[in-house]
Amino acid sequence: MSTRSLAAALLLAAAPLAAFAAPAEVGQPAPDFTLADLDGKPVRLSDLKGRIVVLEWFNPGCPYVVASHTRGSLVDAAARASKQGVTWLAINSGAPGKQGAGLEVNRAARAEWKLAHPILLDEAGTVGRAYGATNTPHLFVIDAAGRLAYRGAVDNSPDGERGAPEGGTLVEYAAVAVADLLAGRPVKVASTKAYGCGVKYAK
Amino acid sequence: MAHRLAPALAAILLTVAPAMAADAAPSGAVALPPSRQEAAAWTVALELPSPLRAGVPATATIRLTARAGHHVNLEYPAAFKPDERATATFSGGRIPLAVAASGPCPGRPGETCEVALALPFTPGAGRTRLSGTALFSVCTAERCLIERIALGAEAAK
Repeated sequence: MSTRSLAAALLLAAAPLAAFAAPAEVGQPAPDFTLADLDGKPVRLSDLKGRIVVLEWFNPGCPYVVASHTRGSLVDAAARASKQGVTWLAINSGAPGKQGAGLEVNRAARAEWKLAHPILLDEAGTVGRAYGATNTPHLFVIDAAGRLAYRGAVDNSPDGERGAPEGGTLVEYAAVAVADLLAGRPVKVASTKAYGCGVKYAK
Repeated sequence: MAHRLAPALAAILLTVAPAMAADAAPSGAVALPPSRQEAAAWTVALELPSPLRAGVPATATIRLTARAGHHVNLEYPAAFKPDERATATFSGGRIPLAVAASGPCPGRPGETCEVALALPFTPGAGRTRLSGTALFSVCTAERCLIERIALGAEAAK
């Protein structure tokens, strides 16, 4: 192999890493991706341009996710957003064999929690790393122009069940960000610290 | 027939009676949850200070120890939810528990395995009883547990 072709090969190999070297920044274009849902149907983010999109990092084995979906701010959150014309996508970046990973356990959660929105599997963790998703749940709101408008916690109650809001008043950050976008306002709180389990990435 | 069954019945009653007596609360007493509970990943215990005086604010301690590779999840808002058996008054229905003291995990100095959580309360008149549910979380690198554990304690006379 010549030096030039070796360099080209190295560049191609490094390209995906370079593209996702730094996590997505608020105000910048949201990294595009194509992932399959639990029925094998591909979902491409760029096909949703013109719509507000919420990405929810998901792990049905994580107790924070369980609490959020059974007693917390994620109960019916996707359905409520859908009624406002917002697309909600859950993404599971758990590696095979890790807690909450795999088709069956995610299908079971979808049925138990009556989730109508797609749950996308990102077993390689590429999309999770591109967004800098660290926790489950971890929410990202993308505006109609495809820019990241919010990243962080679903709310300010780090017990996952709305019982311990910081400052005493519950704030559903992601829902507020969506409301700001729908009203044509700048998102007032564009970044918060996510709480919950760590994303179970492949090592 | 009845005559033949009587000794057997008596034997059964003799066997069961002490266990029933041990489990039953004395007349007028209130059965409380245990003051200490444990699982593979943690132990938790509720301790009352002494002495206590009616109307004078006091602080109980909930001692949580993570084990079996777990550490205390300090990001989780640990809390205590008193129940109707408590004779003290609290600042609300869900009391945030502040970390009063902490200790590292053996061999893992960056992680916390022991915490003393402060539970403020004000004793009422009569014998002081605390009873309720402790909410806390312990984690390993791979998984977190969120626990809701009943705890109770009664002040010595």
